[in-house]
Amino acid sequence: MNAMIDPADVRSASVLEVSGLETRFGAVRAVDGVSFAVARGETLCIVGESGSGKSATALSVMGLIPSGSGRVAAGSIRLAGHGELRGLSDAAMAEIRGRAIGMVFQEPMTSLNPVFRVGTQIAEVMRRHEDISRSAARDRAVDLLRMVGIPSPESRAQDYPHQLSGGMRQRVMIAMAIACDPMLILADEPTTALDVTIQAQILALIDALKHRLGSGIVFITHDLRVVAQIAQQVCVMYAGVVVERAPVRALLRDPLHPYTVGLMASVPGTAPRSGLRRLPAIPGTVPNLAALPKGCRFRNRCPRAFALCAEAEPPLAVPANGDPEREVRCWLYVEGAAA
Amino acid sequence: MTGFIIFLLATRRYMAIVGLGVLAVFFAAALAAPLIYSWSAATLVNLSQALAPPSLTLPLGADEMGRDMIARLVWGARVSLIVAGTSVSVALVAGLLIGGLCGYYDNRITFVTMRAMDAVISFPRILVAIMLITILGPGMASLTLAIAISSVPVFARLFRGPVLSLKTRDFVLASRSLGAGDMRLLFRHVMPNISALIIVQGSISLAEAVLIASGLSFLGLGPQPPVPEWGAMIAQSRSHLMSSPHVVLVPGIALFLLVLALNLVGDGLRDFTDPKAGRAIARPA
Repeated sequence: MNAMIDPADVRSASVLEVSGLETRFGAVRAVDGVSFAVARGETLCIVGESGSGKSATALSVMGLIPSGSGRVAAGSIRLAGHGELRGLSDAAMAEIRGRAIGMVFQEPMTSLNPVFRVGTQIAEVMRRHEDISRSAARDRAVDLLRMVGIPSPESRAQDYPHQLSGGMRQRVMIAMAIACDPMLILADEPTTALDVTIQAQILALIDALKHRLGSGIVFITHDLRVVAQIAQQVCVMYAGVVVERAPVRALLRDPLHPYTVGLMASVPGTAPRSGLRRLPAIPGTVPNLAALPKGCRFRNRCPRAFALCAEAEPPLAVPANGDPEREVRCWLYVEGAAA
Repeated sequence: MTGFIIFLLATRRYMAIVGLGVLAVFFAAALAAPLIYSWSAATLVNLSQALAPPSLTLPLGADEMGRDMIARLVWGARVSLIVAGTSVSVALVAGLLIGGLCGYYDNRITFVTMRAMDAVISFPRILVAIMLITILGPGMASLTLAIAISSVPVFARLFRGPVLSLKTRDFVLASRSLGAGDMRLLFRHVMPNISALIIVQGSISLAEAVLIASGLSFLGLGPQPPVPEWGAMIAQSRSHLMSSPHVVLVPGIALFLLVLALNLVGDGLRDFTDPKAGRAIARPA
């Protein structure tokens, strides 16, 4: 199939390498220079609040930014075995979508076509990408339903989406995303619409599939507890940029960026605490992405901001005297910058 | 079909069942016309029995040219159903293409196309059809084409709306993320979602098409004599209304029954496909 494999792709273990990605919706810089890489069998979590550019990043990788309203303005998106994705024709991207990259969306309730049986919808993906007979595709759809943990898959395949619960539908969406053994799975808040027990099951399923298929996973979420369960690498995004990148353990044990610190403080604990305590929240909101202030994007909400923060935007760099595997975008960790 | 009949029985929509029955009789008559009555029985003049009243040998009597009314009636059903069926099918396909594409793509071309459709809708349909027949010349083919063309804008506008809203639904983006291209999305993922609308509108449009076809034939713009078209039959015999009313009543009542039956079935189909009509089974939200 992939006779023309770029030797650079073989050397690096990365499935996906995004660098300097910029996506704009008019004047709004939804994604403003984002870089990350995902290795085979690795889960990268992109964390951030609403409007931080997480979903826009995923849609940019898929080439699904609606052409009427936005565009990928700069950067490079390299997929192993396929090279640069930016600039590919829509037809070429359609070949990659669903075959090399599978995507799972946030809303399982509405992401399935209401008028077709779920087995048919899964089979449709295979018939789109592979030369496979109708009956063989149907058999494999049943196998996939079994693989994603749906009981009595033969009869469930005959169900319409409205006959399934939200968790079941998300399993079906996952089955569709992995139908062609993609090397990369993009999951855009796949558990946000589900209740917590189902969420845990879906996370376990995604993790099991990663081991089974060896795919790289980009998992987008705003929930740090999900990050703790599933990630190996974490990118924290704020206002269109990556503010911190670290292996999951290091990040959770010792968050560096004040935004990450705030995010972690605002996770409600389950243990009963002494007396009533207000859940800490990060004051303020994400700045207007169409008219970004000078300096650090987070400074108006940052408890530790100082003079330099208003003057220049900090670089994403290895923290001074810190773990070389980490990067943080904050003047506090730049040698000689902190006051 | 069986599901539809069971639904009608279960929800006591007996009028729709009557409509279905009447429709079945007309369809059977139209299909069997060449077997029971030869074309010549319906067209050859036999003045010896002109205006004969209904009798045992001529159950519905004969018209002013002495032609068996029942033969003309069944052949007329054939003409009406062929004209209406063909014109609605052609208009549905064209309307789906235009409405679907104009709903899916939002650009200058589709904008101009839809405004052109609106312009045509602003004229009464029968006027549009008369204008087209004036250009094409009267006859069965041009009658069919005229009715089809005059209904395309209605269909296009009707189908554009749901496509416009369906294309923003999550499942469309999800299908796109799984490799579906524009045409596959529009015709295999979006269009099936409006199949109920297509069926219901199709059945109601059939009634309209039958009526317009007869109206135009009454004006002499349809198939030319001796082809037995109901509207034309009424027009040719109307001077004998007082002396021999059966020559006008027979095609008139047939027309009335066919249009009524199509409307009743259309109403039944609308209720059948409408999730809010109180069906027992759950439907997608």
